[in-house]
Amino acid sequence: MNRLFTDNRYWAKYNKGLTKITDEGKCDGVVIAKGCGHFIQEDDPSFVAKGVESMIKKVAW
Amino acid sequence: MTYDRYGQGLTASRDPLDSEKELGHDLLDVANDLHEIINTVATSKLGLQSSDIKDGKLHLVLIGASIGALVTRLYVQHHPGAVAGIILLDSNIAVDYSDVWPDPDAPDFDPKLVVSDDCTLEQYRVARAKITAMFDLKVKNAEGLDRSNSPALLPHADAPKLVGVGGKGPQLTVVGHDPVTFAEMSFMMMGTPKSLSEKFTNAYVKLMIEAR
Repeated sequence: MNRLFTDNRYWAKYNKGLTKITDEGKCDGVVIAKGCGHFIQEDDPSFVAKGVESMIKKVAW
Repeated sequence: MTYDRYGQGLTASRDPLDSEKELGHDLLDVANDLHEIINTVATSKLGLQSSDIKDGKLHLVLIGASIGALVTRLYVQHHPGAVAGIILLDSNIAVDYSDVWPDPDAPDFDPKLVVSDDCTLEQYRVARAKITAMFDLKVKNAEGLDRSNSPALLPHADAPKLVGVGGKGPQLTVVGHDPVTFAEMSFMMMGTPKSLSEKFTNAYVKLMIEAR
């Protein structure tokens, strides 16, 4: 089997790339939403709500 | 605050641009619509001037899921200084599934790449046909959202760098799906054999990285 197709790291790489579109120190890396499929806000609304709360605290001025 | 784009949810009206463009409006048009909404709320409800938005007075936090993550990035790229924080939920990646899932009719196709305990060659053909008919970038959708130029609009995962409030990078949270749950749901919703989700959703990302 072609290694490219079986290595789980490649899925994570795009998200890892996204963590670099801001200044260093402004992103804590990729968070995996445990038990969630593609529609994270439907699969675990409280996970998303907590993420929003924590973001609002971080950017408070 | 949440909203439904043209042709989605409670926004039954079509984007007027759809009558001019064959595949409909694109992601940049959607980002411009978002700015109209933000501008309207800021100026009519919050007592702000339009210029206050780019000066960072709204201190926006944007949350984008799937294709909304692409809209969010385009919005911030075109409105530097406005956004304080961003949450990206399982970002869409702008590539075609038919480029990622090997073509079973190609002369160099190797069935060993796709056949496994849970997937015969015939099941692979069906799964690939379903996925590409639904998600390929040139497929028309009910919303009238043209995704065909999305690889050109956002060719890279890690660039360009975004500029937020005060000329600094915005606070950023990147959330990805659980790979096990994702494979299970693809199987339930589309009948995609789990082994294929594991192989090709990963490969999809690989292609993106090689394209750089």
